[in-house]
Amino acid sequence: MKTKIKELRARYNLTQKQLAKEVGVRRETIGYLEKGDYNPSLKLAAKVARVLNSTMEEIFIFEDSDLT
Amino acid sequence: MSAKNLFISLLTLSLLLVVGMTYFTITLFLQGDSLVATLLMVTLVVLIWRLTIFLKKHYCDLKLGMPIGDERTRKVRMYSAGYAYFISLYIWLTILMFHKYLEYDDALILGLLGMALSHGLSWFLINRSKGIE
Repeated sequence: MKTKIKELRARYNLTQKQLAKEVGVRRETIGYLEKGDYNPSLKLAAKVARVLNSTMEEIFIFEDSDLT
Repeated sequence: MSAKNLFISLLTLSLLLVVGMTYFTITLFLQGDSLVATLLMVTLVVLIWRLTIFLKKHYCDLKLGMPIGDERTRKVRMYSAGYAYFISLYIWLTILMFHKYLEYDDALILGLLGMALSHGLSWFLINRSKGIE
C-alpha cells in the first residue's frame, strides 16, 4: 500500500504530531501510515482523509498485489 | 478511561511490579537461593530500564495532549497477547517435563518469567512488523 499522506501533510503545512492530534492517534501511527506499514481502519482512514481535505481513494493507493 | 487515569494506573502497576520483584529478590538472596535471585535481579534491572523509557514517553505524550493508545497499539497488544499465550503453553509444558529437577518455587518463577519474556518479545516483534491489519 502506498499513501499520499506525507505530500498532503506538506501541502497543508502540518507536522506528524499535529495530524496525529487531529485524528486522535499516536505520532508513530502516522509514521507507519506514511510508510504504508500499517493498514488503518475505515474510521481512521476517513478521519485522515477529512483532515487532509481529500478522499480515501486519493490518499490510500492499493496496487493489485496488495489485494491478493 | 481518560489518558491521565490510564497513565496513573500504569505508573501504579509499574511501581507495584518493581517493589514486588525487589522484595522477592531480597527474600531469595536471604534464603540463599542466589542463582534465581541473580536471574531476577538482572530481569529487574532490564524491567526498570524499559519501564522508565515507557513511562517517560507516555508522560511527554500526556503533556502534549496526545493519546497513550490508539487502534494500532490495541492491535499490537492483542496480537502479542495471543502469541504470548501460545508460547507460554509450551514453556509450562517444558517446565512440566523437567519438574523432577526443579524446586517448586524455581519452576514457578521460571514459568512466570517465561510468560513475561514471551509477551515482551512478541510485543517487540509485532510492533516492528509491517502490514498489521
